[in-house]
Amino acid sequence: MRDGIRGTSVLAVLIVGLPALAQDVGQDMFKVRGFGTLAATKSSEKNADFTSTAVQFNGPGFSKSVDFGVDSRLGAQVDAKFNEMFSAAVQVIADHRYDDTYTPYLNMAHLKAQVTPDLSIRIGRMPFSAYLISDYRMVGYSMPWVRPPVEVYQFNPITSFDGMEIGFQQNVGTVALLWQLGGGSSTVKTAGANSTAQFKGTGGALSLTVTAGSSTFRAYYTSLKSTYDNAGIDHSSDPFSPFNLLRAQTVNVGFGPMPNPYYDPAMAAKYQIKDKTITYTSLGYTYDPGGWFVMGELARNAGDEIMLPQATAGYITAGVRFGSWTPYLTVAQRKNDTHISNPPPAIDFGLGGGTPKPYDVIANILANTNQAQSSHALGLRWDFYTNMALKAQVDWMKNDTGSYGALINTQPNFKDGQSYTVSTISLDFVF
Amino acid sequence: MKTLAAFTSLTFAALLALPAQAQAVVIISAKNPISKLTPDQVSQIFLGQAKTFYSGGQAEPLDLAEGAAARNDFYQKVTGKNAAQLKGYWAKLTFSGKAQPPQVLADSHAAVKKVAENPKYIAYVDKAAVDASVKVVLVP
Repeated sequence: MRDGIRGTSVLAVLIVGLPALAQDVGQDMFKVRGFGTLAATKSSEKNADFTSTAVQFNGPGFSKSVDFGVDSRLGAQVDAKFNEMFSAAVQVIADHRYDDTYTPYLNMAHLKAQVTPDLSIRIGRMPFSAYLISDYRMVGYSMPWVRPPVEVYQFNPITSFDGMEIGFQQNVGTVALLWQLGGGSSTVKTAGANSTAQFKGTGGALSLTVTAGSSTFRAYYTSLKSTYDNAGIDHSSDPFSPFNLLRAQTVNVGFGPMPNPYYDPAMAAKYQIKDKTITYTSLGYTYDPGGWFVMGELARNAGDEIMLPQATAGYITAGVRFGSWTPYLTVAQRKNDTHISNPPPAIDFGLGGGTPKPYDVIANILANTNQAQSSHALGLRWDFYTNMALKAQVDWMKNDTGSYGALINTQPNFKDGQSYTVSTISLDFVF
Repeated sequence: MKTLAAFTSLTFAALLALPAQAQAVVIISAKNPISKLTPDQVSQIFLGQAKTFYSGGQAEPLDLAEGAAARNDFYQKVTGKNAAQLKGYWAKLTFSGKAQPPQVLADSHAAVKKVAENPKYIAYVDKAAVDASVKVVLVP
């Protein structure tokens, strides 16, 4: 009985105390918030590793039986409001990275000026929002799935950019329009085939988000000057590395320089990603009246260079909310442009040894950029407690012929064009 | 001891039952010239999709604490979102650095007091808390 009373007292203090605390926090200059996901993933393809982003070092399948690195993540954010006009946000995230560590990195650090109620300017590091949900792709709690469909969201490794963004809010009747114009640059380290690779992009982006009732429509376009530096291929001091060999007029073969039979600077220029224009376009739509929802997206990745992974991808997700239970279904597909599947022809120089090394490497890189695949997924979300959700999802993946899909670390026994299953259980939370 | 326990239980039953009966109404300052708002207009302001009233003039929404009956009633009726969906919605905006959820006030009386101060404020409160300093622009 005494315990009962004590329990009630604690409850009473909580009921009275919590709103008061919330009020204090509401009036503070600084606010600390966070989000996270703890997820376990299993893949039936044992001759390769499944990954959810281009920056992961390994994954479930070959390297691990059950992997926590595919979707697990922890994020912390501090928001500061200095006055009616100026505010700032800093966000740090820890997740599975290119070097197989969980070293935290700065995903956001910007200053925002609310010039008028409708016009704002952000300067600093902000999320790279090429797709419908890429703004918050790190926040599992805010999305229906355990991870955004890999067909679209593995398109590029960029999660944030450094620069400036202007946001303009327009309201026409009950239709809300948000225009965002941004410019800046981004550098991302990815897990390369034999070494760490770095992707750099600089450019501008325009997006329009239209909200009317339960409908949200979003269109996005960006054009980036991109450079892809793979230490083993692009920056090697080895004169026999592919691009060095293609660019050298002469080669030293022990007894002195002799004419390079592989000399082909045009080929090097064509296949090396150096200041090449790359564009991302996406159209997304969400209808969410509350009791159910449907969302879909179509994304295109193109550019002026054959070497870039040019592709079109899309997905449709639908779900129904039964109280705290939300079952959902996703169908997704990614198609690569046909010419990517036609690597440059092997040229025999008559030196007695089949295909020369540079062409092998280039053909291999081209094959690696083919991520064409399709999938369907079935999942269930359970909002079992305030600010927490449990999810279970099964993905049935099918790689196209000649494609690695979302897989890396492919082993000698790996066969392309196969189907496999990915199963995931996740716990999402926000605080 | 038994009496005390019974009394405590009764008090809590009353405390829990009271907010559930309360009806949420949407209020603005009596100084604001607007007399009526539609559910769509109110929804846009509270979800951060409109920063001004339809007739012009800055609009700033105020929230009641999470778990308040008037809060759940208001958001369910006006935006179609339950508490978890609303949390997910604001997580999208805060963790992308786009916007912050409305300032939270302790209770309906505090909200009425705050709204009366400035024509830019808009809040939902228990109907019983409304006085002459504010006016009701929507009964969801």
